[in-house]
Amino acid sequence: MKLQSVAIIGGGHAGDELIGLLREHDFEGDITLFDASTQGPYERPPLSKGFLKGDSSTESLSTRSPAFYDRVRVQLRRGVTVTSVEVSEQGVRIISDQGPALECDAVVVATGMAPRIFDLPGSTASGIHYLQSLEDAVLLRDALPDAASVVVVGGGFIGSESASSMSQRGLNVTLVESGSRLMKRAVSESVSHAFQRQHEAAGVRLMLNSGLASVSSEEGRVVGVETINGEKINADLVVASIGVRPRTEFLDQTGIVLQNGFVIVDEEGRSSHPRVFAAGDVALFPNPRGFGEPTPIPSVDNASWSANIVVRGLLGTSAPEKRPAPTFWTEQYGLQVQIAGLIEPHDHSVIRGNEQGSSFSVMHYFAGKLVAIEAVAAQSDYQAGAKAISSGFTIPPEVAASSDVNLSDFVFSASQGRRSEG
Amino acid sequence: MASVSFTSPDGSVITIEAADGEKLMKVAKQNGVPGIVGACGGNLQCATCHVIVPSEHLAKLSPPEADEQLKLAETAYPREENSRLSCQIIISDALDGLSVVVAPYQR
Repeated sequence: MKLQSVAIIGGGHAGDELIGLLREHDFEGDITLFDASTQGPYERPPLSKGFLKGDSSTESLSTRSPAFYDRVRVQLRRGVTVTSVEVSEQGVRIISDQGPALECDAVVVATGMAPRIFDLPGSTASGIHYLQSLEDAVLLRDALPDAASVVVVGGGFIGSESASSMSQRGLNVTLVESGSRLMKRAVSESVSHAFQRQHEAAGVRLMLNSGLASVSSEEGRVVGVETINGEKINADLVVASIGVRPRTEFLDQTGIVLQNGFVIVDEEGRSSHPRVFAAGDVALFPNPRGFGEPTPIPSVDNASWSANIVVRGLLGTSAPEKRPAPTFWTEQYGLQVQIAGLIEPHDHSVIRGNEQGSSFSVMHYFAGKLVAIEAVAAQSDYQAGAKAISSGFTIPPEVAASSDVNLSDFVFSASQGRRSEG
Repeated sequence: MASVSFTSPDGSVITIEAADGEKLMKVAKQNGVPGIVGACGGNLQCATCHVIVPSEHLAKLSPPEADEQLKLAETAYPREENSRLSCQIIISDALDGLSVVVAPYQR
């Protein structure tokens, strides 16, 4: 299939990377980017961090200069939402809420995730915010100077980061989480606890194993919430970070195989239809461990990696041999955890350093193999762990547990040894 | 402001007038310099913004910090003596005229 035209749906990190990479791989045909946002591709990780704290401007978040889009000859359809896609053996037809339908040879779905919206008594009041897009972040940031207290609902990365940012701005923050600890699906217990200590030290009230029952308002504006335990909390604002779902409804009639809304793709990012690819958060690739169920990997690192894979799939050039360990990170109150690899499933874990202290790592093993590292303010351990996981090398648990061993030296000399053997 | 040039693996040279305080990696990304990936957004996690600084330009830069040194050991294209991660180079007047070579590959 010789491609003359490619459409990309979604202007997040994956879509943005795809544009540049297609040209870098000498694709000379037409590229059209459908982006529901009018703001153009922008960096998302700062939205719940520096941007909310007031450290960075909207302009500073742009991933590209205006001249870039001219140079790479991309048709930008900003502020346009794709409503349906028709696929056939001959091509793809994309129908949107504005402008004519677009006929093209292949399409990449990179629409990302939509926030789950509250459906509670009182949840239509003004002062309830979600934090997914730049538009959301601007609305929330601009509401903060007039607010004294905020209830954050949902203690995942975004909820925890926004609680940190707003607390550092001097707001009185309550963080309500349904699970037994913060970021439960992303980090291990020791790491959750390290971050919970930071929140508590900053004066954030953590309400775990809880949730909202209702939102109360006066004259249409939020004044407080009631938890499922019956406690009433005053609040000028509510920030909800209660889950996400893939934005793929427009594929429903295509017959493309989805799983919980995620697009199931092969190693080259190709869906069940050969002209339809997916990248970024919506794409469900084979498990990077090489076995086990496919798992969503919501991160900028994955967006970038999958864009790289999809371009090769589209153009029929060879793919890199092995996927490096997926990486994730969060920063709250200046404390950073860096994660390489997928933590679940694991059957054994080793803590390196003092988990009650300011710097430690957790190494996770499955069937005797090192599968993930979480490094809390431990850059050197992180580098060593990430390198080991990416190259399929296992740091033995007893070595990992010993603070006397410099992991970087250990991994480096092991890789040298393997090279001389091979 | 500083004028900075990138020579990419495809031989193209792009010269950019960059604002103070910006990361060199971000300047490259914003302008679509071929070969710069910057997958982690400049957080020293991915080593995919690898550039090589010609000797005659080294004096414009302060040497890499310890964290960058560690990460440089992980670049896909083997590290050279004058290798840097461009996310750790911050634009200032002192960099005016800087020219770097983008590593042949980043992953």
